[in-house]
Amino acid sequence: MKTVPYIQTHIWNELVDKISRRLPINFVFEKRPTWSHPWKISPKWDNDGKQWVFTIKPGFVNGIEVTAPTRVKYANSRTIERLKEAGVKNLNDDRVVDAFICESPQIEIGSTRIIGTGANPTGISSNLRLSYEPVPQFFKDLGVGESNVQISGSLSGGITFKDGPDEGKKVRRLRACDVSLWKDRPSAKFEIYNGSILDGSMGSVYITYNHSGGMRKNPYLQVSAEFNPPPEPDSVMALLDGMTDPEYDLLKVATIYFLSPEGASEEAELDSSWTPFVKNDIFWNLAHSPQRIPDPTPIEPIRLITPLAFGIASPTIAMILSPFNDLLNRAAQILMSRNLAGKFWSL
Amino acid sequence: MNIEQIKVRNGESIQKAWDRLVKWVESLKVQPNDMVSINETPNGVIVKVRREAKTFNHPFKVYGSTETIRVTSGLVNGQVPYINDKLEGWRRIDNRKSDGGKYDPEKTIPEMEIDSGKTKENKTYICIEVESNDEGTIKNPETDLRIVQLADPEGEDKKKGYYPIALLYLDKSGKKIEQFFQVVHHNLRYVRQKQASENKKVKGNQHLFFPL
Repeated sequence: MKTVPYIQTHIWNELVDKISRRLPINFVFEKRPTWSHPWKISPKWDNDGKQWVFTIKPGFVNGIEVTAPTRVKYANSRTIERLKEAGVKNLNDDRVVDAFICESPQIEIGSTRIIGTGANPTGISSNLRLSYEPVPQFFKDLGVGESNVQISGSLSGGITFKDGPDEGKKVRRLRACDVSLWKDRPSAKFEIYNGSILDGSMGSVYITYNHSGGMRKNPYLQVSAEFNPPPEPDSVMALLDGMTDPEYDLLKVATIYFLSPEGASEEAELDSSWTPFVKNDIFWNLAHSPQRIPDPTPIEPIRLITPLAFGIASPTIAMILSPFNDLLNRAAQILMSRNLAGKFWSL
Repeated sequence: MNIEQIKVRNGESIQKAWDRLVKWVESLKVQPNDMVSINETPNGVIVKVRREAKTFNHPFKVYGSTETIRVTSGLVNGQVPYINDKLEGWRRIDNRKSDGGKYDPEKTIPEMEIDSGKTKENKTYICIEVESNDEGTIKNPETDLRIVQLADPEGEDKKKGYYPIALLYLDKSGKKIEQFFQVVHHNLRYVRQKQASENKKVKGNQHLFFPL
């Protein structure tokens, strides 16, 4: 007797759901934008690489081209020819190279952060209340829920994690990544010499202004799950407060959000069914300048002019005072020192 | 996939037909790109089509052909720069006479030829060149306020101020323009800064440009 093969009901119905989700039901033609501004980001789905990439309208800093890291397979032929002419070898598809954004590279969107349900907390208050990155109202209106995991209890009695109310089948997920602009610059550094008992030298502190090496001439873009700039110094004397002066200035260019279809699980992968939205932060070309390195102000040395020993004592006294004048000069330079944090402004 | 391949034939195995059907459904997807975005809902896909942006005609817009460039009118300290027209020499970029009057009969907009000797790595900059007195006054725009082509946007003559308004990508020969990239979108204010000098050597950049 022949067996009659059958198809399970749920398999059939899943296929029907898939078809119904993919049928186009509406075409919307967006209003023509006024102009395409510098730094404008346009995400697109790479069907071959199965990932999201973006292109960016070229922007300039001080009239200089900006670079971005990209894999050779996403680089323009102009980039590849330039690298070959420069003698760069082993240009295989997955190698990451620096392309000028004027060369129209496609830039990968790597890791993203979760916003809303499933997000990691960004802080905790004194009454044990977790805080999260807020979901923008625009996405709340589209069905993204706020993160709702909270903790209860106390440090002494024990802490438990509590889930929020059920999200429902129509919930949508939100992921994001940030694109930032970096500009290398010299930084102010304290250098400490511990002194030595062997030669009797004393410990001392020096202030220097330089870069540790590898300072890039061109500004460059970075893509990261979250933009975390170093804290802004409170005052120009921040170095004396122990604050480290970083060797770069940075600025956020844009945040790229990805919105899932309805009913996506927390673990759903970022694929072509997600919709990208871009929030641009800069719209004009930029200028940048670091702080000016303070001039080494010559100090008035300490002297003692005396008629003792018919004036012969004066050079001896000057020789004794010489190391103290040196220390005084260094102290003056340290007090004048400041970090070289620069500023961007638009053109 | 050909629709005829999806259809079943009498007596065909259900499993094989099903597998072909599933594969076909997987291919039924509107793919997003930089002009098209999709919003998937349980009832179907909403397809959004982005249109090309309008043209923004701003000051100092550099445009042209593969061998010559033109610059739309713009002001530096309220004065109009001059450009070296390939036929008639230095002329105002707004296509007017030195006194601001219109030409009669009207002339074609001045255009400058690209010099392949002023390029670097198949790129060249179109810059504003300013020469002023110590107070920053531009006395004669015809000689002191010009649109020039440079390989290095910082220029060579430190007595003059240079500011890039556009970057041009050239072809491999370095003679034909392939792409224009605009740097400046506004009129400009030029300030000449007096710097403290040590031993009569002026330090730092004296020439500052700000958008208006």
